[in-house]
Amino acid sequence: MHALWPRVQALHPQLWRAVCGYELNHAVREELLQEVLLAIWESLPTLREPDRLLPFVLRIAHNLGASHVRSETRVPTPVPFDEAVHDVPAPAAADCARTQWLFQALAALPLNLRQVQMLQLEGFDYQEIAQMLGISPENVGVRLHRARERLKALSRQEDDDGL
Amino acid sequence: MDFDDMLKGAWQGEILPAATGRLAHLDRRVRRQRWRHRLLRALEVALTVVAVLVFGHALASGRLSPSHWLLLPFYVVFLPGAWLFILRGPRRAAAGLAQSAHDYARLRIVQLRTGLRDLWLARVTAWSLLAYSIAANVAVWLAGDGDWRAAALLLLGLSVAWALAIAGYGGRRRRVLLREYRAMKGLADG
Repeated sequence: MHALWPRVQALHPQLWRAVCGYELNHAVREELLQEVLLAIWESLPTLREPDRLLPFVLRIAHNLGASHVRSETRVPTPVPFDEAVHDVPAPAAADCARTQWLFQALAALPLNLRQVQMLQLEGFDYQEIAQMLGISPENVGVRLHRARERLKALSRQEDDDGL
Repeated sequence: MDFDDMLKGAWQGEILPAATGRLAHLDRRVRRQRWRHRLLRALEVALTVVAVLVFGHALASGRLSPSHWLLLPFYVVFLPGAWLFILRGPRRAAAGLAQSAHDYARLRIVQLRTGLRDLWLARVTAWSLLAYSIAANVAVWLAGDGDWRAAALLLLGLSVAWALAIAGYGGRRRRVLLREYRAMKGLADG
């Protein structure tokens, strides 16, 4: 086993979120996460800077996710809401619905906008995102702006539909 | 709540499900994948060696039967096709995964083009083989004797099976490759 493998295990939550951005089906997400872990396992000996482990594993996750991308997840499906059961949504349920909405909305974004948005949500700055994606920081800014506008539009649409 | 805060909260809200033996499965999966790859390679090498021995022996001894003459083209088509799918295919996707998304997309586009060209080649050779076997059957049934006819029918059966297998597998594989190709093209151009 590679010396860095235990540190990879601590990064599973980040890898899981990256995987969720490319696949909505839970069972397929698990499968894709396994594929990502397998690729990391095989690629770890090529890592030259151990301090850059998180960007390294996320690059692999995003590259595999892009290869995996499904054409059928273009349109977000509305989150079902049963008024008979829920008079006022509990905070936890509302958070869960927001998370579900976010990943459905991300699935509707083109790959080049989606990757930038996901990395920004993971906490990377423009420079780091630019390095990970192989584009300029200015391009990152442009893509982020577009991604955010699209997400806002989808959010407004969701609100309108809910009224 | 601010829209960005809402997005961040929703992003962080995606919790990793409890690991149901994920790592144990992974270890097993690595081993299984390696064994599968070795098995396929061994199978392909065995098929090649058998073909070379059978045809080499027949050529060396000068005792070429009708089945040798008729099955030789099948092996000429089948073996390179099998080598392309079994030995070249599985290793393609792993290369370059740790590169930046842009570099990976460009590399993957080249790999996908090669994959699509291999599929096209396999389809063309399978249909050519089928056409050859039909022509051979017509000729043999007009002018050949019992041995030639039996060998020609065997060739026809193998060619039809190979063409159907390539059409089924190749069609599915082509759709997958094209879908990924379009996604990668969008990434590389965008």
